[in-house]
Amino acid sequence: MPQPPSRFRLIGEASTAGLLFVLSPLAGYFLGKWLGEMLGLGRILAYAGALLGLVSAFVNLFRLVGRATR
Amino acid sequence: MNLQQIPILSIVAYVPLAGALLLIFFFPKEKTGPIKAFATIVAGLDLLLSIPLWLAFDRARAGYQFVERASWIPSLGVEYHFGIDGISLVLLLLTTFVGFIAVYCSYTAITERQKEYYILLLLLQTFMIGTFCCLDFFLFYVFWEIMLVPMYFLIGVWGGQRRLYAAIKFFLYTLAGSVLMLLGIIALYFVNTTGFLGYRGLGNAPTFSIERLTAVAAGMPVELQIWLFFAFFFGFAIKVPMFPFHTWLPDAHTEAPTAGSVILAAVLLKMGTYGFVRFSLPMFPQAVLTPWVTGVMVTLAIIGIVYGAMVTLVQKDMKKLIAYSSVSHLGFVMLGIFALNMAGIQGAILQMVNHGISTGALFLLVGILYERRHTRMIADFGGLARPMPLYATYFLIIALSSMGLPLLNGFIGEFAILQGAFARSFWWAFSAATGIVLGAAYLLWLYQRVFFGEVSNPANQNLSDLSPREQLTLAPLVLAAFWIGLYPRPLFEVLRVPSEQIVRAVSGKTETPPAFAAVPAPADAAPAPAEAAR
Amino acid sequence: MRVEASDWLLLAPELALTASGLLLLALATLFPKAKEEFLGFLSFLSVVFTAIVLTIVAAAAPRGKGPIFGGMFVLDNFALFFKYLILLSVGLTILASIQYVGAAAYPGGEYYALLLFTGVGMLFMVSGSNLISIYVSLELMALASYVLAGYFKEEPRSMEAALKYFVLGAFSSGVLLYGLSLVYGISGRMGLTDLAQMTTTADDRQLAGLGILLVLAGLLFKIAAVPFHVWTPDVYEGSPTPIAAFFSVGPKVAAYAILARIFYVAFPKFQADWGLVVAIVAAATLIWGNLAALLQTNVKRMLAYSSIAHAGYALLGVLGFRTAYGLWGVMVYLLAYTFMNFGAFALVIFLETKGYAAETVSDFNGLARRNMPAAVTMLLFLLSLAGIPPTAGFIGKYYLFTAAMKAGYAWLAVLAVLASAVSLFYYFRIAAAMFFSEAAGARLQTSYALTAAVVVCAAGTLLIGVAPEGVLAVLKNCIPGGYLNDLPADSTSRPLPPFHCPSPFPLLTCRSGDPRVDSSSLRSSNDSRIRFAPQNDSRVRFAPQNDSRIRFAPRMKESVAQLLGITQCPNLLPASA
Repeated sequence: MPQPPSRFRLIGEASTAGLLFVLSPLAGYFLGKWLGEMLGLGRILAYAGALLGLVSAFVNLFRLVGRATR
Repeated sequence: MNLQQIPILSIVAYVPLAGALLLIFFFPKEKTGPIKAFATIVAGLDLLLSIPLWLAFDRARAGYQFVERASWIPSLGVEYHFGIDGISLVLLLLTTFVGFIAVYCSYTAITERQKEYYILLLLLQTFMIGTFCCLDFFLFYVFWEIMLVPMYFLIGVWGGQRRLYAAIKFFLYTLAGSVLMLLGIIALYFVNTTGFLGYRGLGNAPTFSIERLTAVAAGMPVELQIWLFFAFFFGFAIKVPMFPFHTWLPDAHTEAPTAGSVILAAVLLKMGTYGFVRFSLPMFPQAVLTPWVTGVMVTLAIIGIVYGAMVTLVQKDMKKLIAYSSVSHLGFVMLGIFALNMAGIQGAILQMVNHGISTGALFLLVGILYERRHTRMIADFGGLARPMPLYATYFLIIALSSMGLPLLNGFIGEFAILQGAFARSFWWAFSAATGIVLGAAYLLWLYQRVFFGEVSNPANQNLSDLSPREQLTLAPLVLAAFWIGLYPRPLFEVLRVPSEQIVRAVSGKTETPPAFAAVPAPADAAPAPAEAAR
Repeated sequence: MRVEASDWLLLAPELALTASGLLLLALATLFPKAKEEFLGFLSFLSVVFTAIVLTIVAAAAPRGKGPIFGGMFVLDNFALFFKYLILLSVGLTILASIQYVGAAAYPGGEYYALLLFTGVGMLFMVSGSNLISIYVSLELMALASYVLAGYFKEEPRSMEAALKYFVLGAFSSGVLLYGLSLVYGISGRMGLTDLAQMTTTADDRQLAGLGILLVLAGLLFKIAAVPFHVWTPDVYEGSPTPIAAFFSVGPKVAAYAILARIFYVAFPKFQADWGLVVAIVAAATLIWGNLAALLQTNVKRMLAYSSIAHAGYALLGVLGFRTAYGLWGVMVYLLAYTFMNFGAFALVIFLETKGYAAETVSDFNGLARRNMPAAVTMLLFLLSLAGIPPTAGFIGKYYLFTAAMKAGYAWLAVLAVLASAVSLFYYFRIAAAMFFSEAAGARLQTSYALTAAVVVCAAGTLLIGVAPEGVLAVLKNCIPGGYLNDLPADSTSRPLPPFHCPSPFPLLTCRSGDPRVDSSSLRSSNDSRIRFAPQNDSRVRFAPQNDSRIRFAPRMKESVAQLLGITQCPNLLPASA
């Protein structure tokens, strides 16, 4: 966006943060579990997926805070 | 006074350190005269203290002498364990000798921050001697690494134009190899104690003692030996420097100050080959005997010889020329080592000493010229024999020694190596001989361009010849060159027993030593052709 | 759970530190004109006093006394070591801040009080042996540190640092709690020793694995491992420099301590699950931390990335928990890391800053000419950070490489050593600026307190490097449950022995009669092997009875009662091995 995000947009984004932190790892976990079962690798992909989901949630939050403080 | 009872090795190793500490605390940095004098006295004292080692060394006894042992870190099994055998003795004497010369050759070359310079030189001396003396792997690694720090500063503070780049390249390159060697040491430690990565350990008490771990390593299965050989290979090959890992050498040598180059060439490069002879060969004999491993090592050595010599031919900077010639000479040494017979190994170690003397002297000579004219480019010189005849004489003697003229030291080493290589394969000796020819080519061509003919550059017409102090730096090296060239027998005697041990470890049988150094070996009389068993 | 009077005595150090913090706050409020240096000096004295109280408690603690507050806390040698280390880092920070805070325009009383409260939180953390107590003390430490990060209210970078730290930290604590709740749901227990005996069926195992993973993720945030490291460079750059130094040693070490304790004591059976994840995280941390540090010109950011890389090295020790060198190595490394990292930061504080948080490498120019001792000391710290012998950093790294090799992660060991070599490049950029450059750098602002802190760090770094035996022998006794002999390589499937709650015995005496900590146990590998007596009385089974649905703890009532302190602590394992 050319101009800084409006306050309401930021509030909206911030309020989804909690949901993001729950849904993202769960999505990663189940995706990884399905992939792992397909490839026969066991549970490791499930954990990796959960971790990746968590990481993406963190990074998203980090960027949000960065935008909010500017 | 029995020399074996007093801790002579520790004394020889730590006298320079004590000197450095005294310099730090008791000499203000303005008084450069006393600083220089004191540093020279300390280095000379170290040399004098190391001479009794040569005299009291028992040539006929196998194993380590002047052993000192104390426990340092019992939790890890590390001991403070010093001891030397013939190979270490020879290299230790080279270190003290060249170190002494390096100290007083810098009187006029270094004009600022002199106190720190001499402190660093003395510290470097301690660490180098420590590396050659120690018999505990952990301690060896400590000295090996810490040696890099003063050298980094020597290059970086008092060096040439691109000194920052050269210094950090030197440090990083060598460090990367050494840390891989650390993993090899850790692996050996575990093989000795509780095993790792699916290999069952021997269950002994934890120790880093080189003697014990050598015995342990020689009994390992071949695959593991090959892995560990290559782990150690990286540490040593970068220091030698062997062919693909040699790129740090020209930069470091060219940009270092004169004494730095001398020590780098004379001593630090020998650490790599020393490592191969002392550690890789006795510890991993099956790995070394594996055909492809020998093939790789010999190929790299020969490439080093020939490629190094060819690159030397086209150099325009004198110091870089000599640096690349070091690559070529040390390729020779590696070839001698991996010929795996008496002639090869003895020749290799002798050539290590010779290279130290002749290349060290070459760097000194170039440094003398640089102090006068502040340039090292060959094109800036020409016809120097006229204004500087004495210098020209010294240069000729050293150049001939470096290229291996008989009656000088280089010939003995090269001949022995060629003999050893020829015993393995005609083609090895052929390629090595090509290197000798190329060596003569670049050295003679250099000499001709710099010294013969008319004085082409008017700035060279009034150059002063060698001062007495400069002659004093070169004369011992020339004398040593002649002495080894005319009477190498004492050296061969010192090296005989350890070389036999190594050859026996690698091939399982002893051989007769080379014919011209005919020391009547006690029990074997049959002059069988020196053919190593595969 | 019975709370006994002696429990309060065992908590005396934490109480002392809390009281000092409150006292400082009161003093700062009552005497607003008090000099900052005086308050700083008082806070330093209170740290020293706490250390003395800790020594007295450790020496005089009655033998045979089990956990404190019925299993919430435990004062074993492991906790004692980390408490000393935490008090050391708090003390060093106070010394480093005295002049810094005095020169800035912000009130000093609350600063020092907050530091002390962070210390209290960390002291509780490292002796926690129950997931809830660990979590609560972690929060205490975190809250105080959020405020400290943003202490310089007027600087926008400080505010941004604090906000990022707070938001991300709060969410990571949430993730940690989420993981804890899953673990509790599976097992019905919160005590670490109870969790060690948790056995699960195949279905529960997945959920337990996920719970453990989330706990790991929350803790990895605190120690700033990749990929949870995003907050570290900005927070370190934005915080006041002494606080950045403190963050890099205090909370990180304490978080490592609880990571070690939780994963060593409670979850060793699940190593198959979290082992590879930790290995990959360690590899990523090493690569990313070192590569990113190469590109930095701001010294604080570079040190932030270097501390990320060091967290990666320490994870190698976590991987090697079942080897003799794993936990021992982590402790040695954390001790060495405290000294060397704090020393490096302290020398950054030495340089006068032209703008807030603007220290670049060129500020170090020509330091060797202006102040040779400072340059040599910084060189010592840089060598130690890069792992060049004979410094403490080398000893620590040696242990970690050994642990990784023994644990079977040879590829990771190779990566770690190469990363260590690469790291020399950016550390020596500073050395090159100090020694080789003639340009004018920043002036030095020295103070006695800061010099004292630097001297302590330098002494520690050098001594542990040259004569490490004393420290190593002491730390060998600090491993919870006793020193583990290396199991031979062909017995990898042997389970770990059950952890037993050790009694608090004095830190400095070595129980030489105890076969597990005797160094002679190294000599032969068959006599002091830890025996695995089956525990048939207090094993807790959590298999669901009929169907395979995930069922929450069948003994919910009992565990709730335990939490509320109504019933007595269940009988822990017998002390003999």
